[in-house]
Amino acid sequence: MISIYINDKKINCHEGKTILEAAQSAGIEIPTICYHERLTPPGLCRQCVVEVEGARVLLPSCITAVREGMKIQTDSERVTRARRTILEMLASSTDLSEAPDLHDQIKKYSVDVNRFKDTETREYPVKDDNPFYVRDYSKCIVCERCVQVCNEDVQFSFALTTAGRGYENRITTYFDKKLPETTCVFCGNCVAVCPTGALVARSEFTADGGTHE
Amino acid sequence: MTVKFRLPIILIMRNKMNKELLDNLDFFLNNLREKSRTNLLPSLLKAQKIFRYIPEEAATLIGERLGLPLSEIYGVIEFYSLLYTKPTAETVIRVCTSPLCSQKSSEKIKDALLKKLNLLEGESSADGRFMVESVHCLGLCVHSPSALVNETPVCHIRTDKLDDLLIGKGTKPLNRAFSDTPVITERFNSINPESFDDYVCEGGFVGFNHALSLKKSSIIESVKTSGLLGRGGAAFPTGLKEEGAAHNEDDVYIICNADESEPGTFKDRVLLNKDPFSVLEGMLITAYAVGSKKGFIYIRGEYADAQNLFAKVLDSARSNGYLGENIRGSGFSFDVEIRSGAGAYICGEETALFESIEGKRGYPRNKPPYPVEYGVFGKPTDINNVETFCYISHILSNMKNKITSPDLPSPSGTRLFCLSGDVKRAGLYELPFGVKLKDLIYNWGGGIKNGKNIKTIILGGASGSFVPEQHWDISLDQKSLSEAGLSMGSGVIMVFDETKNIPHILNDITGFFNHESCGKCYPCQLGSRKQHEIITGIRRDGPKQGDRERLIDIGLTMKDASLCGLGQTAATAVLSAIEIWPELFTAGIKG
Repeated sequence: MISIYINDKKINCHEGKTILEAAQSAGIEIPTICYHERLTPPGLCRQCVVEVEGARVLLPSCITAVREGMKIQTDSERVTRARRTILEMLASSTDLSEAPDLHDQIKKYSVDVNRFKDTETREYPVKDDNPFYVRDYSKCIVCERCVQVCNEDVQFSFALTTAGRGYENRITTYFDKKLPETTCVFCGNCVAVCPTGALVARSEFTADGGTHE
Repeated sequence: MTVKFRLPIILIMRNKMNKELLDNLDFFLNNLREKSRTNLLPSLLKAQKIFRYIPEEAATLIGERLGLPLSEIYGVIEFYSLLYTKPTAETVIRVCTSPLCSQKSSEKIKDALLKKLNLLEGESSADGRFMVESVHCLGLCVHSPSALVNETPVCHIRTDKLDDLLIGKGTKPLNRAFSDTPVITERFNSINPESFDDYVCEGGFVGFNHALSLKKSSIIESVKTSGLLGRGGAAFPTGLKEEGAAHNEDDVYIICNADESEPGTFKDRVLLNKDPFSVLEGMLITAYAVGSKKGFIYIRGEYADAQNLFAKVLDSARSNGYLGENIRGSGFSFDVEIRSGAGAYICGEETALFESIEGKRGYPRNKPPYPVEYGVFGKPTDINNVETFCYISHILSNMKNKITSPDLPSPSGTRLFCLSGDVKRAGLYELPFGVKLKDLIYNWGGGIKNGKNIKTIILGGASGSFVPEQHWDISLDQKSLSEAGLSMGSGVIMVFDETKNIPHILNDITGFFNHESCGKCYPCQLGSRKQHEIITGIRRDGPKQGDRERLIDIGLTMKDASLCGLGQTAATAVLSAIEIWPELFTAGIKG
């Protein structure tokens, strides 16, 4: 057991734990987006960043291991600005209407979802090419969970990949082929881990009144 | 019986041609020593060369031969700017639109070229002969505006010489350096860069041969005591890296990072073209000191001239017994492989570079673990910039020659400065640390062109900051700079005269990051785009209510929360501009 300090409170935890795990076990909430407890944390959304004494930048709590005597602030001004700004930028980039977890965070951090309204939104036509699920990438936040479960984290199907670069990063298949023409086995794992409703089972999609191509 | 439906003749021809081209690619793939993912990027670059794009059949063949999932290959093709999924042309003209060339109207020249050819940017002409697109910094800032015509750099391009540009005709880069205390640029004028004999005649390999007589720990100790700091931009102590890598029992890799792409930086291009053996010697010394058998030099895809020259250098080092098995009878074996980048600035970030060598999208990794523990292929890796390796060879040869300070390249020694912009004598300068900024601009650089005054200076490239006027005569040493909150980065000094427009400069800088962010982490993926859109709006229409606060929030979020050095510095210029010229970002105040 080692001792760390989260928001000035002394906490005992096991060595090798991440800051996020230590905080969770002490009942301290840290928001996450890309993190999924059954998958390799990619540390890419940076929503779980915290301020650690002595560190130049904020550190992602999902992948940063605790050290003896570490002093951590989970809600400092720097931290909340980063979280709020990430959500504000995300809200102007992607359709978050089917992302309930993000709605809670938007509320908690007093996010102005219209702050970057004048900037370009990522919109893509709905991909409806198979009997099982529908892909509406206008709702995709490129957390890459679907790619992880499709590849080495779960299924080893390698049907999905991230393509493009930067703001144009997008999830797709080999040469943008229709899913039935790929190595997809329709296991449904990607649908299960999608946090924003970009991937939905066909039954749900039609029940919601979604429109087909 | 008559055949009713026949393939149009052109399709038959194309199929036949494709078959031949595919065989050509297959020949390359079958000759690869390692048929695995690490050869993905070389294979894709080969396919790009053969077909002028990467058709699905070629990608599928590569997948089969290297044993790779096709989706992964597509993700890689889509990541790199020099790989295309649509046909490009026989001649591709890439016009530099980075700050320095842009300030010299490179955009207008590009537009004139497109108009002449009646093309849209990135579109290939119907006859397949020409394609024009933008590219970011070609390391030809001294000769701006510049372009790359296929693999040929062309300097000082002009709207009245478009016909010359189309055939790659024009001024070639000079690759010169100026100094009155030259250390790593000393040989520049006295050798043929590809001549092994010239190099040896001019004191080449003295350092390496001396290293072979030393204990490995004393080599590392000498690099440590020299105080040499990495010259790629992060200024990490080189000796500490060596020490860290040498501690490992495992295979250690040596990598030379020659993915120079920071706007305003051209020192590595010059070193690689003028004294490439010295880079290799630095790699050899380091490899020997840390116990490495294999090295890579990752040269950016736009520097084909440097890649070709370095290939010759490696061949002649091998035939002269300075590479390969049992070098100089010492029992030490080491070889170097050249890897070409494919158009991605982010691959200059060390962990993204590892991913690229491993055949992946150039996504930076979360750190820790650090390269000296877990680098390329998960093995300990000692990665340094081109200039850093050159200084390593000189540290060791100076030890042998018993030459001490002031030639020692410690922070009290020399470094390379890339001076560009509106100065009379833009160029590469090797000068002592502590040279005054104004001395560099006015005495070395000859002052501002056409008798103008300075509007502003940028230190450190696109990821650097505008220098407040009170620091225009700052001493260019690590201590003074960090006290002033400035950074020399890769040695960039860009000077802009009074006629230049700050929002225009900023727009070029944010445009660069918008194009080069890898998109892995949210702060940079989103921030580099939103920041660019806001700056473009300010340049076009002036600031809107709240723009300043939005830019500050984006900037600080990128600086604080981004995953790698690119994102953490992508807003530096904007944030420094807001401090110096708040009125330019505040609605209602005329800037």
